[in-house]
Amino acid sequence: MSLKLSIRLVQLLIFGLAFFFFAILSRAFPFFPSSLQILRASGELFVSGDVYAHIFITLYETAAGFVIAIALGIGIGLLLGVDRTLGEVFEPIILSSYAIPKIIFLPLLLVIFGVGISSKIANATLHAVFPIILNTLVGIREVNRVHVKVARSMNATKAQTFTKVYFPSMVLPVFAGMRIGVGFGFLGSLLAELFEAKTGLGFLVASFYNTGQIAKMLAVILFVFILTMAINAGMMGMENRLSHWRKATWRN
Amino acid sequence: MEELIVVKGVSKVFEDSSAKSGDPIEAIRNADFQVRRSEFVSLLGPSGCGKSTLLDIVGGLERPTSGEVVIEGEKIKGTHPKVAMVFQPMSVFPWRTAVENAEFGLELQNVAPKLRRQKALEVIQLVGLARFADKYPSQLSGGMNQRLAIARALALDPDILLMDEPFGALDEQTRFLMGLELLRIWEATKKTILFVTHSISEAIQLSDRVLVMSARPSVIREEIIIPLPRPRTIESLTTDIATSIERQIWDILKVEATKALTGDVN
Repeated sequence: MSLKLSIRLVQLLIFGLAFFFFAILSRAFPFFPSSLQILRASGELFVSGDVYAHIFITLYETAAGFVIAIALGIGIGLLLGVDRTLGEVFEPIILSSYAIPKIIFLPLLLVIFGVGISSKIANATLHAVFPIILNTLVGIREVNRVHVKVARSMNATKAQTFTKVYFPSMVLPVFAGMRIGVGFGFLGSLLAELFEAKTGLGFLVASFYNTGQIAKMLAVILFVFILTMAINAGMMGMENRLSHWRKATWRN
Repeated sequence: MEELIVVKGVSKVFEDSSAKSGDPIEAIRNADFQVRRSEFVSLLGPSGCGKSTLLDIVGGLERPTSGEVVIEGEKIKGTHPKVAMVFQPMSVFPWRTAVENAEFGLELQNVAPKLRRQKALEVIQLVGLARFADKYPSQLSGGMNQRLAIARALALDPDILLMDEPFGALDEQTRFLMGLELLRIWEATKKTILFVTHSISEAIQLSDRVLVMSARPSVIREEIIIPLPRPRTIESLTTDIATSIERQIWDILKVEATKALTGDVN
């Protein structure tokens, strides 16, 4: 049996163990629903069609926040990378801000943007922007000086040097920042919805919790888990395609 | 034009140096030399002596503090279209295949895709990488990547090749073989080559003339003509003449290299 197949089988096994894990939990804790109850709750949610509007809202907030974060993140990252002084002044600030749990700013965002969808998008942006700034900054700093020298020696214009040397050098680190950022953006939307919302997956979790519908709550949580894996897999897939030049070896 | 490259009184002082004292660093002092058409001339000197800076100045990437560089009869103001440079490994672009690397210069000139692909394949063929045209640098060895760097430089059909320690990071055997490879390409294309190295044996293996540079502030201490016949083989390079030239150069270089080693420099 090939190694890849063995790995896949083990992964499937671990996934299957999750069911047993839930069975144990429902035996141990009286209010914890059984796997069957969770399945039935999922059926009610996904067949009745109620949940889809909420899924769409959360995804919309994440996407909007992510797009804004990309524009802001790459813009700021480039600025700090290109201008030495600005970089020296702001990089330590941004690095330390990265460590602050940004969720603490949610009440402030609610005051500024209100309780509607804007505050959720703002929170998603706030969470997603930092890894993008930092990865862009690192990306531009790590452009190989010899590569720039090659372009100069061949009389490249500034624009050509940017598109043909800087940009291809930076694609991978910036994309990695975006991959991390989209996950944080998703988190930002969900947290904001948990806290203060009338729609969205986070709202559903809070609402089912408050009304004691634990099985449905768990169904939504499991869905978020699967959705996260899917988004991540998508991003990793893209990243792999973009980096094939790095992975190529004598053998392939 | 007999003298393709004329370097007159070139000096280079770095004002905002990173030296501990913050004093300006005088890298090169009054470099004066010429290179004739189709000659192979080496700039040989200890590490840090400024030979790379001198090459950058000839290539138009650095401005001299004083003096001038005349290429094909005209004083240069920046990069010259007939001059191409080859740098230390790894200067090839890892995100481009071999042929895409080779056509980089042509792409910058907005040459049509079909034409530049054709020209790129020609130079790839010349350096012996035809079978690897669609491979990425990560799939090629160090020696192959340096051949690719040479191909990329040759694609624009320069008259002059400036090479900055191109074989420095390679192991000794590969280095020697790459030297033979370079000589083969040189014989085939008749380019004029100015080659920077810190290796005495490499300079003797490859050059018509060797310009021995001092430690900083660099001056050209001596010009040594290499009278060895071509093609240069392992036999001709281990004759008594070759050995005595090597000793002669080492005697000059020893003093300078020691200065560089002990930091007894400007």
